[in-house]
Amino acid sequence: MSEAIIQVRHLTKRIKQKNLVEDLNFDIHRGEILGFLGPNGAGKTTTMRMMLGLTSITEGDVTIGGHSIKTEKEQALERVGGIVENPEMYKFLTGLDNLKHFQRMYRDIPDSRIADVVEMVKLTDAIKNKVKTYSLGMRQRLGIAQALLHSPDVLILDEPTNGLDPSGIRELRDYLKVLASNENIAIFISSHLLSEIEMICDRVLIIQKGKLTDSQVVNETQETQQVVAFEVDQKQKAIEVLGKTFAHLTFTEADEVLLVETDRETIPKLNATLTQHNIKVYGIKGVQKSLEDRFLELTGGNPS
Amino acid sequence: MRGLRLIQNETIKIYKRKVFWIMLIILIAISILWAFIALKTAEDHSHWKQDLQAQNSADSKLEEKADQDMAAITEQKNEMAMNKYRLEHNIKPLYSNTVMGFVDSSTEIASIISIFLVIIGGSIVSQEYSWGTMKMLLIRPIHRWKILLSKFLSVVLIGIAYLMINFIISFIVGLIFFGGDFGSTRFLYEHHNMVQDVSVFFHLLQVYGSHLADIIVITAFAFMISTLFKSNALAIGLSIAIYYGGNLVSVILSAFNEEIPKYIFFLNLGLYDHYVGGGSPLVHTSVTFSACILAVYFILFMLISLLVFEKRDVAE
Ligand SMILES: Nc1ncnc2c1ncn2[C@@H]1O[C@H](COP(=O)(O)OP(=O)(O)OP(=O)(O)O)[C@@H](O)[C@H]1O
Ligand SMILES: [Mg+2]
Repeated sequence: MSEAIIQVRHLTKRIKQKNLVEDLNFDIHRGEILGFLGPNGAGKTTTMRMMLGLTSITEGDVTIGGHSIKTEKEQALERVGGIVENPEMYKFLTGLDNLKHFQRMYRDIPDSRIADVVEMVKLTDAIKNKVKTYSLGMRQRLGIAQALLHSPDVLILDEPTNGLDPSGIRELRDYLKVLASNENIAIFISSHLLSEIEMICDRVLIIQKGKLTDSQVVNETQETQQVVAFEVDQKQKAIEVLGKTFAHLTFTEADEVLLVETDRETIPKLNATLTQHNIKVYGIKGVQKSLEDRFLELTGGNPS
Repeated sequence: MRGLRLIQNETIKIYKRKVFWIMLIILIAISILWAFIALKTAEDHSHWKQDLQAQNSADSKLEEKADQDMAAITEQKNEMAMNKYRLEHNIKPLYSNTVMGFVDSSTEIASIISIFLVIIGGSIVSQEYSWGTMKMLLIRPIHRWKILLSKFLSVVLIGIAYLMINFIISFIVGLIFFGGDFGSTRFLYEHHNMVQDVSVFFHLLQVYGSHLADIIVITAFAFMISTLFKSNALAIGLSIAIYYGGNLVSVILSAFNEEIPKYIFFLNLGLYDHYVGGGSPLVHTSVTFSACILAVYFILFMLISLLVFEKRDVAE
């Protein structure tokens, strides 16, 4: 795997003896889109605020590109773009003036870069209008434009899909994917809406009551382990036979099929073993447990 | 370099808002109103020499009566000395219906500029919280103290701009209303019972410089309150109360104690007034003393603002 550009270690935020965020540990790699999923009040925003140096860290640390946000905040933030909750802008300034304002806060951003990001978020027509005339979706896109302005290596986006319509969400998803794969940047994106994150992310962290639930749910695109259903004539015999050869796997009987969690390469081997023992195989199907099922399973409640 | 760009950002956020222009219009309107007042109340001063002579002979007669207290006598003596000096050196008083006299009297308007600056300085930090933009500012690779300092400096720059605008406008309005009579180019005042004679331009520079010092200190106070409490209403209210209610406080305090008021910052404002007019409510202080007190408070206000801002959690 590529280098971890963000390392989060024992990250804890405590206010008045209450742990809002407790002992988070995770890495984010270049080229990866990592989802951060959790119900309201789980601590997503608090975590991101600590990662961006907006609030102090009670315990633990976050390093970005090797720089600690606690001790070398300025270096750490040099390569980070962010949106925290709603990306509020100066309403009395035009979209362009807002971007110029943030441009002045970095070392060398050429003016052409502003035109590029504006083009990218499709605001070219409205960029000379005051932000107070913008719709929620336009503001959100301007927020994304300011986050991308300095071509960051890392994007930390807190609910960037808020206020976007389905096509807006789709566009955002598309260019985040392009950014991750073409420009090799790491993206950390939070949401309490599962359906969105499921489609954008390679990997998802689930946070609840300030703690990461121990499993990291891996999305299908990157998943190596999958659940496979074998439709066979003799289920009992099949379990017996396979259990001997593949002792490390667990086989379970479901209504009509035999379920096994395994990697892709093992599937034909399982099939070969079954045929060798004269067990008829009528069908092999990958069963993707939906992320939603997992989310509900893990958090034991309604996701939103 | 980036420091200058930060100041540019902050000044843009001041002058791109309506408030800035409304204040400017108020400033111009007051200047014109001021000119009308000067026109209405003006007396004919074509025979100023005779007037001064008449005043002096009247004063000397009063003096003979000698039933007045010491302070009044000293004041009268000083006035007589100054009138005598004017007659000897042919220096006409700065009548407010002359161009320079009007420019001089328009420096009074600068106290309104102080209020404007308190309003701007008292909200420049808190408004970023209420707009929700503070987090957008602070996720940049820039030290927080630099952002705060650039905000303060931009307020000072706007203050300098307003003062210069006030000077220019008063000059233009003066030329329009009293163009025929430029007025005196010398300014006289009394210091340690001696008549002092300076160029009116030097005098104006000092008046404006003194106003600027006031503005910087009172704005630093508003700035600190605004940074501490994230409330512009509190910052503005408290600063204006102090600016205008200061003298009252000193009267009350000095009834109990002569020493304490000397160390209260707002009683040391108005440095130039101390010097030329004896306008200070404080007894036994010098300009240097007041300047030092102001400097100490200024540093204190800025340090408190910076330290609190540096440590603060931004979560609104
Ligand atoms: N300054 C604070 N003082 C005390 N409690 C706080 C503070 N800020 C946040 N909290 C609490 O911390 C918890 C986590 O809040 P946070 O905003 O991080 O949740 P979230 O996961 O972003 O939720 P949402 O999906 O609603 O945005 C909440 O219970 C909130 O009430
Ligand atoms: Mg949140």
